[in-house]
Amino acid sequence: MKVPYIFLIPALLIIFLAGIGPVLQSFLLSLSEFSLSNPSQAPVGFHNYIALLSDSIFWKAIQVTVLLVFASVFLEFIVGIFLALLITSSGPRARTVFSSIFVIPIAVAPIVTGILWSPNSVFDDLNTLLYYGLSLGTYIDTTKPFTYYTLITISDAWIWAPLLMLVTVAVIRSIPREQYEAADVMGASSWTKFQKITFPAIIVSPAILVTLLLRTADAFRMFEVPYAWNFWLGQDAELGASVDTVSVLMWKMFSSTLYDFPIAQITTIAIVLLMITLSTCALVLRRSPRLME
Amino acid sequence: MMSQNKKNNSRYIRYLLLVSASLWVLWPISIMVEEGFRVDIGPLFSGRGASFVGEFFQGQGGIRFSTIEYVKALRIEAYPRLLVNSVIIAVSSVLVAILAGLPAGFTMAMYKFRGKAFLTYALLAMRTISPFAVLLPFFLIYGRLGLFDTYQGMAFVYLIINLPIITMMMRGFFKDIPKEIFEAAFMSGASDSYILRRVALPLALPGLAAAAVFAFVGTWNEFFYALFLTGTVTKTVSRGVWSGFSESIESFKILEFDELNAGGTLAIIPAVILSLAVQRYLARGVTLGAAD
Repeated sequence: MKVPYIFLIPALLIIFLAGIGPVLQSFLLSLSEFSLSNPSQAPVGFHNYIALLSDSIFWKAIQVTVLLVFASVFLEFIVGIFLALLITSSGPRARTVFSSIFVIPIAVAPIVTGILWSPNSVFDDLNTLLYYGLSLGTYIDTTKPFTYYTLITISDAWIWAPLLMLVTVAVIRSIPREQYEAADVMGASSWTKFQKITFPAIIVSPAILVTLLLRTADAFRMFEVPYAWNFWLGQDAELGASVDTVSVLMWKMFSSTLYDFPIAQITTIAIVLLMITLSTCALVLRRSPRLME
Repeated sequence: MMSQNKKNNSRYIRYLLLVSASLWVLWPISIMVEEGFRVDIGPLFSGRGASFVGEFFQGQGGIRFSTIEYVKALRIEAYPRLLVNSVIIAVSSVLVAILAGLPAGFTMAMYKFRGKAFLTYALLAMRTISPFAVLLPFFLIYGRLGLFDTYQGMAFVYLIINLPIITMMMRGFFKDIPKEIFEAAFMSGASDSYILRRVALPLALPGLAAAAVFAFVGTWNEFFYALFLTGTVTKTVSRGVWSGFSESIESFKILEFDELNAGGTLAIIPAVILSLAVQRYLARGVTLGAAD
């Protein structure tokens, strides 16, 4: 049968105009000299990339990003499995009600999540409870690095654990019932069943792997929540602050008048980040059984 | 008797866990909703640390329950305008994405062709791309073409998010339709566009609705492009929630926390309702069908 290529033309046009074209231009910009005080766009080859490699602020942002990415994807995975086990072991009515509740965070705008999990809202009441209510004399100090890294991680997991839950529920449903029946006959406990049947099935599932990879790619561009925390911590004017992920760093270089609007440098960082995304996407494509059918 | 007890116990534990998990989800949201209802009237003890979960300490902080922030958001300030902007931008962008993505998704579901892997990869990459990789060219080009802070310009930018969602979700929904139905239609010599319009689309209509709703919510919630490419004309809800929503949108304004919370609550209500309506397809939407 003849493939109707004409059906693909509008989509291809948009991909080229909105995606590939701008990316190529970004790449060209990253190979030039281009800032507010020097808009010559003279080609400098890979000079910006080499300069970036020895930039301590960039490396710090990479460290912060990698830390937050792996911590939050790991937490999402764990919480997602936990929620999925709760859902699959409940009756049909509880399942409908609670899975509807659990997926709500996916719908909440990331920037609102930055407000939701801000020190002023959640931790203020919690601190009052700890300090005055229970008279413990302690409180959660949200200006400590460990606390705010944990909170940013939790915020991200709060949004995306439900996604892992949805995928994990589908995986658990696809496990043949006979395996559990056989385990019941042998008198296995729920924990043994989880350990020997459910968890191995989750671990080897391509759907879970692909979701985790996509989450990793997504999390590398993490912006809204750390952006909000920049304001909560009063670090929004400081380049290389402790909650600067790579995206937040680019935002600061872009928006602050202090740094001479360094277009070439920003695009250089963007292209490096793009490489991480593109390679993760390649892995997703390779690992996803259904995507290439 | 013994095992009955044990069974009951595990049921109680399960319900306890379900309820605590719901609290983990709902607690921050409920605080936001509640903070939006608060108004601080005591400058002397204005520390919000003086309020308590059970509302016992409320008087100390000079905080009173009031709907004023919500009323202010909806009536006095420019908030309704932000809602209208978001709807205009999201709806037009999703419509264009459907026009382009529907036939593409159909072709990807029905045929094997050269470059299909590239197309899939490009859509996947577009979905996960860091906005900064395309932002500066958009910034420069929009400045030159006068598309900065216009509805057309914003609708076009959001195709970066919406085209992959519509195309890949529709590809999944077309694939879900039993192959035999199409085989019969192809045998009788019907053209592709006829099959798409008369056979595939009616069967995948609920899917199309779900994909459109999902893409709409994604655009509604998007903050990044709105932060850089909108101005006084096209400012969207998610940006307005953050930067305040006074009459003169661009005037510098210190973030008022109660206001922020009232605005945030109003912004997530439609997104949550719409997402719950399509919750069966959320995983497909987020992963573009890669985790099906």
